[in-house]
Amino acid sequence: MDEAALIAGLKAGDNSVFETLLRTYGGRLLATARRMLHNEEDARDAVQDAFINAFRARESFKGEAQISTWLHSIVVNAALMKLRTRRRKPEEPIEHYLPRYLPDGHHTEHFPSWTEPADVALSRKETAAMVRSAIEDLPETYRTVVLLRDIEGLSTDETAKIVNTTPNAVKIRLHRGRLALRTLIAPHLASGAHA
Amino acid sequence: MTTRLTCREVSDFLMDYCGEALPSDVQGHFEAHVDACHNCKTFLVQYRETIVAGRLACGDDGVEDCPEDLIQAVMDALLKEPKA
Repeated sequence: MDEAALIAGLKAGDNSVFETLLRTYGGRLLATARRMLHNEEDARDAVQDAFINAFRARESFKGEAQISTWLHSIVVNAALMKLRTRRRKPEEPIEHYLPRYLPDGHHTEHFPSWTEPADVALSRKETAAMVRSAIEDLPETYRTVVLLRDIEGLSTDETAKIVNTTPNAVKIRLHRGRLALRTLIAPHLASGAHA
Repeated sequence: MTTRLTCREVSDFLMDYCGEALPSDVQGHFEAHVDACHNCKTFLVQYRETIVAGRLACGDDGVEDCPEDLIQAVMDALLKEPKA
């Protein structure tokens, strides 16, 4: 079924079209929800909520974006709603993961080179799992922005709208999140880590 | 802006530099510092590699099919939704 037929069926509320969309995009959408929620049940609920929301909002879909992009944003929103309703512990500060400087602006530490490029290191399953674990360890405010910008590929403006903040705040969180992620994965990738 | 950047200022500009959003007058100072500072050069490489690592690490967990029981649960829920 081509995109035009899918759009027509979607707007008409044709259940078979929704099933086709689930079978086509559901696995990838579930993976997005899992990355954001780290809980299988919550991730499945988010996908289900997203499809119900998509069904209810079907007539407002204008076809300006691809259906997959539209569904992706609805799943991201559903996952964020889940995150917001969770009973959250106070967020861990990120400062101890950020680089430190001397009064004259020089780094306080020396950074050893990594032994191999990321694409080579990440071909090993255990390294990929280590990086995923490090992303999970980021404080939630930063993890969400890193996931939306660097992994899910949303723009700064789209991310700001979804997390209800300003584009400038998104940029600051993304930069700090990346710096913290570098700190977390560096010991595993630096020279001698595999010795 | 002074002509010589500190390591802290270079770190602050990393994201804009990697996103090719650094003003051209700052870019020259940024690159001059990185060329002369081995530690910042390494840090810049690792900042970029961190972005790649995140993408690659999360890219391999999204290829499986949607579980059949989830499809069924969603379709059951949609059947309860009013059509109009």
